[in-house]
Amino acid sequence: MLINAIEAKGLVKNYVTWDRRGFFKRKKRVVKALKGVSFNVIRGEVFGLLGPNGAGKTTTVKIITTLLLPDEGKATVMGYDVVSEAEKVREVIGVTLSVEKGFFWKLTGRENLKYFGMLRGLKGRELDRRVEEVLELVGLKELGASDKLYEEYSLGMKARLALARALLHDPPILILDEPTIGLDPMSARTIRELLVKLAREEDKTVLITTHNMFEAELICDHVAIINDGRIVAYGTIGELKRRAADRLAVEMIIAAPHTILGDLETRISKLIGVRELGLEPLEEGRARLRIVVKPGEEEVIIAKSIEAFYSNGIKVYQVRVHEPTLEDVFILLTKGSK
Amino acid sequence: MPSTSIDIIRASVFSTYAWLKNNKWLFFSMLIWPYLMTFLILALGMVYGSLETYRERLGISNPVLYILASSGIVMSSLMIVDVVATSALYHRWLGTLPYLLLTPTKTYKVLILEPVPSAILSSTMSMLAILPGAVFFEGLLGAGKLFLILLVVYLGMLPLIGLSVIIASLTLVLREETNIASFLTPLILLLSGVFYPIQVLPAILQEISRIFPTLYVVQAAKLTATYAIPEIKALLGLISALIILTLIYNGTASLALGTSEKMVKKSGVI
Amino acid sequence: MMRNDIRIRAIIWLHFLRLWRYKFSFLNNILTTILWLTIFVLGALMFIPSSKWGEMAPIALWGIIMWQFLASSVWYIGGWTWFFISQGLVEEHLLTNTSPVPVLVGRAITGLSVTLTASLLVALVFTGLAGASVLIVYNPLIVLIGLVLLATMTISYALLLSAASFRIGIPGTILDIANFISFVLGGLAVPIANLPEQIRPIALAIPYAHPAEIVRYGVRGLEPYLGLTNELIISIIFALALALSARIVFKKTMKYIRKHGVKAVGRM
Repeated sequence: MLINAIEAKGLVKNYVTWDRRGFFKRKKRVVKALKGVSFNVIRGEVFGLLGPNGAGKTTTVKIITTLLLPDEGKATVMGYDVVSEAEKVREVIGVTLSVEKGFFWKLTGRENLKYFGMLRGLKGRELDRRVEEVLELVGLKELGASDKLYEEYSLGMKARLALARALLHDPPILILDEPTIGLDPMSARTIRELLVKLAREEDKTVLITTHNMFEAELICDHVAIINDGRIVAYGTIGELKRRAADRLAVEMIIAAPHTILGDLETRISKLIGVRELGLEPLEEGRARLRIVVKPGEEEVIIAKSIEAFYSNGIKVYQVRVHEPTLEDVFILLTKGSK
Repeated sequence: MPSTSIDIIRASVFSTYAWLKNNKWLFFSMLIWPYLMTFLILALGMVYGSLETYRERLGISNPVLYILASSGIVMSSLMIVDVVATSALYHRWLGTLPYLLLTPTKTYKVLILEPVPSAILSSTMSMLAILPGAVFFEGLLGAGKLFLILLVVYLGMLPLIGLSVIIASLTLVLREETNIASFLTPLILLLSGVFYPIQVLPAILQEISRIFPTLYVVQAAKLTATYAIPEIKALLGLISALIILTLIYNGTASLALGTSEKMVKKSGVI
Repeated sequence: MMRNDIRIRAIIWLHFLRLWRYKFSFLNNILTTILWLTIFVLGALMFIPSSKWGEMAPIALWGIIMWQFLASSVWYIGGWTWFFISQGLVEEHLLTNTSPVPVLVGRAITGLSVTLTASLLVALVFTGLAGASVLIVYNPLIVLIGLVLLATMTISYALLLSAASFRIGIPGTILDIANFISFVLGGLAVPIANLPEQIRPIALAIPYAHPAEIVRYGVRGLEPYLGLTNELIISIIFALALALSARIVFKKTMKYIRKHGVKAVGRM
């Protein structure tokens, strides 16, 4: 049995574009969209492909879903090659490329699903049953939107319908390009919960692209961060967070007269494990002290700082340890990109 | 700072230029269309009958130049009605309509002025495309005549734009994705007698045709194609008719647009 | 393995449903077609003495009906490609292992519906002009065969234009110049025998001329230029060749799309 549902190895893709500078003048330009992208998606997991705009997420998705040929490299989905066995790949994947298009405007949600179901070979009662099931699953039935024309759908409904279409033929793999982009928190949560449920209870493999770090932290088992056409990090959320461990910070709100702040700052900065220190005056004679610390040293530094404050008659109102988030990791790894 | 009419026109001219620049094939194919139309009518007619019969029936001295000019008029009218009447629909379809309406000025100004440069440019191109044909048949005099026809076409555009805005208002309110009133262009052209004398139409249709500006533009083209120097008096009569129609159509258009804007904003179609 | 008959049923169902949902557009298209046809016909009639209108009317009408087959294929297939691409529907169909070709060909349902209805109504106008019904034909079966062959050719041609618009980003309708040329030179409007001697070889080289000769035989009993059997054989060869070319070109276009991605068509 295959362990990896999706494997990508050294994917390279260049686009040729033309810069137009005047009525007849134009200049050829090669855009290197992917510069050797490799990653694996394990069966039954939710995998997040994260990256800033223009990093190569959609190009990667299009190659994996057989819509675009790579210039170099290889990708397989359930063991099928995306170039030479495209038809087989398409049978095992459910895809959403855009949450706001890809349907016929003057057909209802149900009719659109029926049409795409038929294209996938579903018919008769089986087709009707599947259409009803997925409408129910994505919550369109509950919203009373099944028989509305697509043109009358809200963005949230369109996103749900796109997910319903991806699920229609009950594929083992779902590949979703920014499935919650632009959605309200309620709709986004419904979709996220559904994706996790599909992975946990129905053993589906889910690949999503997103730049919503909160979402990735919530639902992804593994993530890969892509930047400027390259995978710059891969691992579990915990593993990635450790890469930003040097962003561990202690934050304190203290009552400090401005006259002694400079002296205190010098004393604390000399403590072992302190990497960076910043003091920001607040209103009413208070200040916020932010100490970036070496992991493992935070408790000692907190204790020593508090001691130093009290010995100088300075009140401490609040102490908080700020763990690095996936967003910290993302910004750390992608800063300086276009 | 509120946007002025010039701002809107300048933006529209730029977008039209950029579009043509990036779609040169389209630009060139627009120049060919009047010739194709002329070819079609001439070839069809000459295979079935003769050019002599056509000349006698229409009472014109240069039928080829007349058909060429008429084809130019057909194309330019088509461009105006098509561009202006479908502009709002097109922007709604692209999703750019709300942003267009967010321009800090009166909505009717944006909706009328935004498509106009593109309409005028396309229309002028259709007419200028026939310049080589006109020069071929009548030398510099032909070019002069074409210039005269072009002036009348420009004048004819004013009421035609008003008429197109009325159509645009209706289609916006009806919430259709396609221009369901596109039959109006051939209807207007049919009633204007583009390739035949208006007298072949039933009397009632001849009466109705008076309300369409293209009738007067076609008649002006006929005058210039018939006489070496067209009668100024007759031309002035046609020009006066066009001015009256301009006032009527554009007045109605601003009312229609105001009403449809209110209805559209109320129903949230945008 | 998926069955193609279900796919074809889905596509036919889709196009009939859309036809119904866009009923105002459908009516508008019929009306627009009739009006444009009338403009050109009235123009052409000005070249003919009134005494000969009765004789020429059926030939002119059927010429126009055949031309409309060509024009509507281009408009409804070539023109719709714009919508199809911009709405991301190319990708969505490819993902179901469905080529865009049958979906685009399905647009012929809409095109033919408009053409047939408009032709019928224009025929009534012609009947009034000619003073006798122009729809009474000499051999309906031959007319049908001719029209089917012609439709195969025009749909294939429209697909070629559609494939071109995928590549160069210009709507197929704008690329359609052959439409006009083939009306006269391609013998749609005029029997080949009536064309000037020098133009006949060109007409014979244009595929549409041959089914047009067959249709005219079916309508009026006019002997086809190369004889009925020869015209039938040539038409079948041309129809197959065009259909095959469309298939090959589209296959290449789909490869191109997979290599370069889908690009917008028209003023986007």
